[in-house]
Amino acid sequence: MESRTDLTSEVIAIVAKSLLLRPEMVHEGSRFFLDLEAESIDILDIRFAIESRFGFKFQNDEIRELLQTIAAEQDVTEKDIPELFTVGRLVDFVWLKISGKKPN
Amino acid sequence: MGRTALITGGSRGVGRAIALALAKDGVDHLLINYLEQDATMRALQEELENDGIRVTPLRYNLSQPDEIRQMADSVRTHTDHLDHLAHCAALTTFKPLHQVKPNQWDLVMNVSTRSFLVVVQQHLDLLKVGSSVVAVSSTGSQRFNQNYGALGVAKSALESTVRYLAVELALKGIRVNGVISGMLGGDSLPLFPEIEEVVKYTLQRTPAGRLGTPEDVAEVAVFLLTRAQWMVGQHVILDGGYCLT
Ligand SMILES: NC(=O)c1ccc[n+]([C@@H]2O[C@H](COP(=O)([O-])OP(=O)(O)OC[C@H]3O[C@@H](n4cnc5c(N)ncnc54)[C@H](OP(=O)(O)O)[C@@H]3O)[C@@H](O)[C@H]2O)c1
Repeated sequence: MESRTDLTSEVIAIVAKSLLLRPEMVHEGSRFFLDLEAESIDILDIRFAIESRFGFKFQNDEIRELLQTIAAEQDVTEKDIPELFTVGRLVDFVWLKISGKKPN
Repeated sequence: MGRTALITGGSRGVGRAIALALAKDGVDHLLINYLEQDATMRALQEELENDGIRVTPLRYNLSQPDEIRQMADSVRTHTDHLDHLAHCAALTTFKPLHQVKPNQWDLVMNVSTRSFLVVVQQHLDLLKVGSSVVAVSSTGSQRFNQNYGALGVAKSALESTVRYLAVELALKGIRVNGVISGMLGGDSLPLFPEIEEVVKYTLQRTPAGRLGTPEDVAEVAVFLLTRAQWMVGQHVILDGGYCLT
């Protein structure tokens, strides 16, 4: 993976394919549950597709833990997670996994 | 040569109960597949190892045929034969069938049903004459259950797969059968919407007066795997009599 921009397009393509959306309907700010109407089984589907494409495994509940940390940092509660869970956050997470680098 | 068994989705619920029942029945090496819950798998491994059973945990995602192939490669490094194979892994979304989206349909089918076929195919060289296979289905394959359509359809296909493989593999001396379970209680209670109502209704219609347990299912699965020598391509229904009322 050359850059985070390439990664963003790839993740958007995966998300769009899974949710049967046109890629141009998905962007970094799209919130999975609120804007894209994803359900928990869709997140699993997207996760499996990402694991298969990028060759790493999510640890059990890793995304949830990440979002909880962000929620705590932003001083919001668990119920705000749907608000926080965007395509961009997923891209950051995958970027960290495959490059070892934190997003800017 | 020790007795070996491979169990998909074997780390908890029905798969775990089958692992424990097979150990009790004299199997000395259990190869147990699961998706991700390492701690649950470790606890079962410790329990079995304390009883002198050899355990090989297999963390592979059965939705991916390539991972099933990798799992089979790994299994081959641990054993040159499998006496028994039990397929328990399943995954679903509980909602009306007419609202199930294509990707959700595919995922449920792939994990619950296609993986059974691919697991059997990838381990066929290890299943020798006299070996046996069992698949775990559910009563939602045969009749309507609220919010159960995705898995109900997948289980129907699973049962059909059992019948086809049973005839084809009987020629190789491998017996294939299935169990069809009704709703299980306790920790195995499915995450249905309005579960209290569903349990109440199910109990009212169940002559045996209780929900099943993973051990109820394991008892029959192990019978099919180890003793029912003339049984080929059949399913045993376990539901406390629910389907008769
Ligand atoms: N519970 C019931 O009321 C009921 C009734 C009738 C029939 N059944 C059938 O009985 C079987 C077992 O059900 P259960 O309720 O005992 O199961 P469960 O407790 O939900 O356990 C599911 C098992 O499958 C594994 N698994 C899930 N997705 C997987 C994947 N993609 N790849 C590999 N492994 C995967 C899980 O691993 P992790 O632990 O790592 O997630 C776990 O070991 C299923 O076929 C189910 O349809 C259940």
